[in-house]
Amino acid sequence: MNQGELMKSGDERIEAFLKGIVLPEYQSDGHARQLRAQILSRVETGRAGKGPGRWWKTAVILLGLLGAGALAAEIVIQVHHYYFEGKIREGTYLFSSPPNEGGTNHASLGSVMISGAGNMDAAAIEKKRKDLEEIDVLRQRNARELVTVIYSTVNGNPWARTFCYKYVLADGRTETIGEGADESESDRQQIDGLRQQGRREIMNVVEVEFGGHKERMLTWRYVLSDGRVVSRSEADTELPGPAPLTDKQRNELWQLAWLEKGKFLGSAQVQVHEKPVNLQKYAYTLPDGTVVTQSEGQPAGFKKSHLTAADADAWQQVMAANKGETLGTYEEDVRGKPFKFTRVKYVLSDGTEIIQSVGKPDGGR
Amino acid sequence: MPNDASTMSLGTPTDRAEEDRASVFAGRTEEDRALVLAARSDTAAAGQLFDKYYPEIFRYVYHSTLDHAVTEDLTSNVFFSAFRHLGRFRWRRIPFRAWLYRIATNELRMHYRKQKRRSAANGSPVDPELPSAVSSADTIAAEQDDYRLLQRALLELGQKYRTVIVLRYFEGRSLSEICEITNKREGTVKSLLHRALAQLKEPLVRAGLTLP
Repeated sequence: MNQGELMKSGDERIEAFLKGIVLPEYQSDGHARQLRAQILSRVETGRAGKGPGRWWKTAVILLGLLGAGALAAEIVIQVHHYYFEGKIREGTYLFSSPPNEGGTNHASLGSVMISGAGNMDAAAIEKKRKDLEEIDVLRQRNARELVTVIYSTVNGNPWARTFCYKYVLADGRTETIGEGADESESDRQQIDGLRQQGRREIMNVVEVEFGGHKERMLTWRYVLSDGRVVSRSEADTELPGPAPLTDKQRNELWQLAWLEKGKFLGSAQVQVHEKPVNLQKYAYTLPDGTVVTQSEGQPAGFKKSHLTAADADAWQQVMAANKGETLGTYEEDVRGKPFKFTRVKYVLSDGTEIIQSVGKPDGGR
Repeated sequence: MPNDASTMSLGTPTDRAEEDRASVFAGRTEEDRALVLAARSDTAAAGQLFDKYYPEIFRYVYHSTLDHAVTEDLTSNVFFSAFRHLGRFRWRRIPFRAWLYRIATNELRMHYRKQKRRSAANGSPVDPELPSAVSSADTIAAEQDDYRLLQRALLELGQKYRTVIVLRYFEGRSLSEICEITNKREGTVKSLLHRALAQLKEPLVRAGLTLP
């Protein structure tokens, strides 16, 4: 018997032992029920699965305008790989990391949109991709500094809460990245309570029609006990399941809508949760030739609550021309540190009103 | 759906049972595709998806840790993470089941790493004779002496070896599924299994077990 046969024989004996082992069993019906309820609750409120139009809010690199969230510091580092998804328009590039494979504290940045980056060649794109992987590791180590907090409203509706962090890369360069701020646990509980009591209003409706399916995404407005107004998007459970679009197609649809590259089909008034809503309907042709219809509108009393690419450009110009009106300053503690905020109002040529509160660490306090 | 074809071709051709399982597995991915798509916003579909996979993921984590509390925590993490990122799950890469197992394997890896670090910080190296993964509350497992001894022996193995042993022999996963879960090629998985079995022999014999 040669060495290989001896080893095989050893393997077979261990295998026989392993196959004959009696496995202990344990069941916890209580845990299953509780976890199931938590998962379904999050799906219902749109927190677990990201619906159309929300994925892109995950993260935005700040190169001038936007930004945004924060995660618990965790010593165990998980390496997330980033991929270049494509160029959205001049100076705007999209990168993404695959689904998180670790614990909830190890979430990656997700989709990262880089704007105002000029014309990036292949080498610059690859460098940026590697920078994002380095930044992801720094982020997990919490090796970063919260430098700016931005709260923005569009036409009086909450639009974005953005936490901007500065990262120092190994070669000394710095990058500032904005992340959408997560809801605090107390806010989350309060919103859940308001939701159950029906104390909320629809402020935006998006309907997507494709392949005979229609899905509807609702953005609800909540007023918290301290007067803060917050919003949350969720799929409308009154309609059946989502349209059969892939993630890639959904991302492309969002990009086309953001760039306003749809063909206007008309407007219609529909009843959404007993409220009349005027929907503007557009047809979008995706790069693979698929045509998807998307309608968007607001109930009476509400104006649009987000900005398109053209709006963002117009806002940049207003900001650059110093045409904002300072409304005042205030102080607020953010993550246990004092910040001084300045509120500035900007009005675009079409009447869209943006109020931005920019908070900086208040060294004087 | 390129992954399904590769899923099936990864199986061992001579193993009929494994081929059958691969076909069933591929068929199930079709069901899962519709379920996952719907589960992003439909609670009924999300409930179905949860009910379908909760028992086996829970069992996998329990067989890997033998600790009730840790099993519940890690299983919760797996499902929170999976449902949170359902919208970004890509079918062309791996089937949903394999994706869930992959998340669970990562949770287990992080759990062991934290435990190791905690032991090192306390100045108490991990004692193979008393695996810290087994809590005193798990007296139910005490009746299965062989399994307890096996667990201790497994804790002496590296995580990658432990993973393939648990998946293959405790959870009955096919080679092709283990390839998808671990993101390794079939040759690598076979080699890992071979090395894991060889490494497992010594601590088992040391523990006084007579192999068949």
